[in-house]
Amino acid sequence: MAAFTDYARPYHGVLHESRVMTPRRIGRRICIVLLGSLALALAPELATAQSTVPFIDELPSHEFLVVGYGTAGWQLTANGATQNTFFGSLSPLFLFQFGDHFLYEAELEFDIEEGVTNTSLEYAQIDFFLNDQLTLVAGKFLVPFGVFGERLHPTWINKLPSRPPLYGHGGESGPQPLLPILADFGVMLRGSWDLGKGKGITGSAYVTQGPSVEGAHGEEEENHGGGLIPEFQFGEDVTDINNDKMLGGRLALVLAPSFEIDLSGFTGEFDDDGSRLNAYNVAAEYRFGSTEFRGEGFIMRYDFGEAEDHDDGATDEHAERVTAETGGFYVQASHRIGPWEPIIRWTRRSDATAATFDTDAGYSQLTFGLDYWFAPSIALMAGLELNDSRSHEEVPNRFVVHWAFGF
Amino acid sequence: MSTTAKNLAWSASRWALPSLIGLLAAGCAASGTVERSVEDPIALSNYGAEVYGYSCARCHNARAAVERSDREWKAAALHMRARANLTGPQARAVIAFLSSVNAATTAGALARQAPAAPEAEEPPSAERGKELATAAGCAGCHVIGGVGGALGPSLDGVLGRRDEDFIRRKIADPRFDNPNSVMPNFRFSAARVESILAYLKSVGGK
Ligand code: HEC
Ligand code: HEC
Repeated sequence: MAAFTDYARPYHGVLHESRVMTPRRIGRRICIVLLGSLALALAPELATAQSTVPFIDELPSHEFLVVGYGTAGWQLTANGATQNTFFGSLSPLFLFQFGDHFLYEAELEFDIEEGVTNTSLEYAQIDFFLNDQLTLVAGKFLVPFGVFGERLHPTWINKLPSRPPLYGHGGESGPQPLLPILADFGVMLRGSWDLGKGKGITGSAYVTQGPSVEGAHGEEEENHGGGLIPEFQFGEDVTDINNDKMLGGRLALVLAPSFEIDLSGFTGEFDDDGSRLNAYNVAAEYRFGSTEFRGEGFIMRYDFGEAEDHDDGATDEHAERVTAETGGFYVQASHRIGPWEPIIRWTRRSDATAATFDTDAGYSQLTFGLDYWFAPSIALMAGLELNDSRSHEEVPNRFVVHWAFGF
Repeated sequence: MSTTAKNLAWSASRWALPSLIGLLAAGCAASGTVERSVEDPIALSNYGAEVYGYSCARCHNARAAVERSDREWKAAALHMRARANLTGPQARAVIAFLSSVNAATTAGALARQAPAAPEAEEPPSAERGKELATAAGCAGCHVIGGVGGALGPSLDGVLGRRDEDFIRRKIADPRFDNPNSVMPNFRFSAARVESILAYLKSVGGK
């Protein structure tokens, strides 16, 4: 044991090679396969491009385009006394396309909260289309964990004027998300295979900065509700608090043009004591005529660094490893009748501070919505959130109306 | 969750990622997936209509071709290629389809402004209708004669559901009954609308 500690770095994880190091080994393996497949993908392009610069057509067409969306709304919150507010935001998205292989996309978000204009860089990424199947993405990108964040969060796409309170970014009115993941810094490889007749398989695999704990190293951790679960941040801080990157991916099976199943997950350390967060997500969507069903659910598993330092510098090998699990899901149905579209969504999740996904500390939301579509990307949306919280966290009911305008 | 389920989930995390990467690599090496003919512009844009029909309304409402110029569509379609994991051929076909709709709609508009457009004189026929429907890519969004896309309702049997006048008006101005329609306005002349109607009748439209 003594000999072991002599070689141990201050980093605790190393003492528990067999478990804690595994994701690192997986990471190394992934990097090798990634580089290998990149080389494979690039080989034909490079071989045929001796005389010119690879990937750049002789006279590439390029285009600069500003798209994005704007939202303007009003909400009524019933929390004992009622409170009503107007709100608005603008999310311009800049696209710069160069030839057939390059696209740069960056989205900003502007909103005003309590008299202060907030600006944030939602994402900023370079898409490099390697060949017909593979795309390499680098920068700050929407993390393909589940489908809501990457595919549905713009207000003109989300049919309800509120997000399911599961993930997404915080700082919005309404309940805080359980897992505040939206975008993160890193690299990602995306692939797609067309199996014909609207069927296909797509995959995304990424390495990103990963989760960090808000208010670094324990000071604030205890403050929110005194719970075990720390408050995470993703893509907020470019200085990685630990050198371990988050690894994740998503596999999407498009089994029929109207039926898709997505499996995704990630694993990443959130502290320098080997504490790790693993998350798994299953999502599905099904469309039938003008009726649409969607749902996703996820489980998060926390493995807290167990290594307790003793005064003599030794580490207790047999310390109990603390683990916790939380999670949630939503299911949604909508039906389009002419310009009208009623929507119903049910969300169920664990309490933000509870360490278990148990009914007593849970929280659920039933959301009713009605949209009126003026154009495919312009709608007036109304939503009623009925929140039922069984924990100390009081979540008021809300009525929201907003205009969503995608351009 | 039971302990067994937990352990299962944990061990799944060990192999799920490497195998996902393996799949990406394998797919890349053996890219013998569906590849359509790109030589024939009509075939390409019809394939594009089909891809548009099954993938462009998956996450959001389908956006109409008239919203953007060809150059803008190229940038937006590459954006969607990255976001929606489309393959290169799918993205190129969608661009070709949207450009062909833009070309057809503007060319049709110009032709209608010319007082004696020669097309106005062509006698309506089911054969001409078939040519027009094929060039316009109606089957990308509609089933016609048993095959086609699902973005719009099947046109087999449409004459049983709708009267001829409705169909004439719909083809001439898709937004007359539905201001949100993404069906392109091809600005067909009255004679061409008659030809397409004759074609729809001939393929068991009843
Ligand atoms: C996987 C989901 C998904 C699919 C499938 C999809 N889109 Fe999108 N689309 C989005 C999202 C998400 C945005 C909003 C991007 C943003 O604001 O961050 C968007 C935005 C757009 C925009 C607005 C301009 C822009 O580039 O942001 C257009 C136009 C568009 N999509 C067209 C299409 C077309 C055409 C297709 C079919 C090839 C398609 N979409 C398929 C998710 C999707
Ligand atoms: C881009 C997809 C698209 C293309 C291409 C398209 N349509 Fe449509 N069409 C639709 C959609 C969607 C609807 C139903 C909703 C609406 O727009 O009213 C529709 C509705 C119709 C209807 C009414 C059917 C009913 O039962 O109400 C007819 C008739 C029709 N289309 C004919 C055509 C013809 C003929 C062509 C080719 C010249 C064509 N469409 C091309 C998308 C398309």
